[in-house]
Amino acid sequence: MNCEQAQMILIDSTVDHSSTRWIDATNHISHCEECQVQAQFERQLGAWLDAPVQPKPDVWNRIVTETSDPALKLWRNPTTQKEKMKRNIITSSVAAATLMVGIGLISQSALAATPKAKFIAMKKAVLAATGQAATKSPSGAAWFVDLEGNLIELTEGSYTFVPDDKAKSVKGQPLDPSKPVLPSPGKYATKTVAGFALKLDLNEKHYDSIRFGKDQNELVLTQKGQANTRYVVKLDKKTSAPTYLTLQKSLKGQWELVKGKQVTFIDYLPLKGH
Amino acid sequence: MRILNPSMIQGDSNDQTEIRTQFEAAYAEFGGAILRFATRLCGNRDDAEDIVVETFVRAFQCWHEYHGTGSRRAWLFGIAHNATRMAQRRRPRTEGQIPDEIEAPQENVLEWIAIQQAVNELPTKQKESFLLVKGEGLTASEASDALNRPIGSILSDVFHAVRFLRAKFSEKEPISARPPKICEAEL
Repeated sequence: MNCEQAQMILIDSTVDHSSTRWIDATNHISHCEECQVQAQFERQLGAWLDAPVQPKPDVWNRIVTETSDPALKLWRNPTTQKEKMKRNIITSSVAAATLMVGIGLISQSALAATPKAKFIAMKKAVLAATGQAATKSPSGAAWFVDLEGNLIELTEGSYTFVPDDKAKSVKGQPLDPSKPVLPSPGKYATKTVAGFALKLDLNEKHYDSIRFGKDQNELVLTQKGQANTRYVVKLDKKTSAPTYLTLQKSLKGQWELVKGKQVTFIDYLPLKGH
Repeated sequence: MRILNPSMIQGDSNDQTEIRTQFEAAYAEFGGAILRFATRLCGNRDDAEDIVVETFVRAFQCWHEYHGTGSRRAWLFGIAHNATRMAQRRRPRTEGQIPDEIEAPQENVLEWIAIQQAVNELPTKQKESFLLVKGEGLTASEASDALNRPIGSILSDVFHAVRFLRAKFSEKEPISARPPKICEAEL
């Protein structure tokens, strides 16, 4: 056995250590200075190659997003013809029942099941609620909706967006019209920031990830190139219309509401009809 | 790690839940290794992350096609290898480029760079076999499955790759056994 043969046997870690080939190879190497140097070099290389690496959390988010696309045919387990027939009968029955209930009770947007579908439904709902068309950026790449109005600061860093004077709200719920909004030290409002415009990009291509939140009634949108900033939009369970929106930033690994001197954060975004 | 939401998958069932669990476990176990393999092949962290995403999306789509005849690890590395090849056709790497995700160690920097460059000088097939067997710890049989090449070719590739690298450093000081640091995710 020569050096090359012996070393190739050792590379193949599946060779039985009690086999003649393995014993011959180890015998050769134990008596061959050249092979020992080679083995030592290999150990050093292995240590260098073994450097640990972890993907960013965003990688897994992207996988989740892409695998939730309804266009993908998921989990196509091989099935027998009998199983397929049985499944088709059950599926047809369930689909018919769902359709009958759905026609009467729920809107098309409520049928949206995936984050992307939810996002598209939300986009339609935003445009319908605001009664305005989306605005394209000069380059045509971005697609915004402008929501202009006043902001009422509830607590430090927490604002209610008020499209007009008739739609004041707290935590997404309309205020009782019989109760006045007290400037200070009232419960509802302490400060008003006028003339604020919120730009929410409605082009799904500009988001790295679109996914459900933990309660399945939230959309979490991470913009491309801004991995440490995200929108969290709460959706109405039936209509998929957004009930409020938050902008969050990641600070030292924790997602926190944005605070500061400049108003860059909207806590609650009540829209018409909510 | 965020758990896949059951409602994201149409027609959820016990089987699907089990497959989903397996899928997440496979990512947790092999995601880092596949990222490292892809980064060393394509020399770019961003492209390598795209390859990891593509690998697991493809794996997700055809999870049932894996019947357990080989190792799951080899199967995933095989998908990653194909995805890397496709990515390199779209955007060939620069010759001699150092993988940009790897932070040079504070000691033996020049030596470390020399090793990286030497690995990049390996012929493609040798480099792939070498990185799978010596870098990721696959058996020659697993690497054979992943790369779809005869096991004898894998053994030969690894042997010649190690010999080439050693020849590169035979007249230098022994290389450091200290692994380089890897940049952590920003978040």
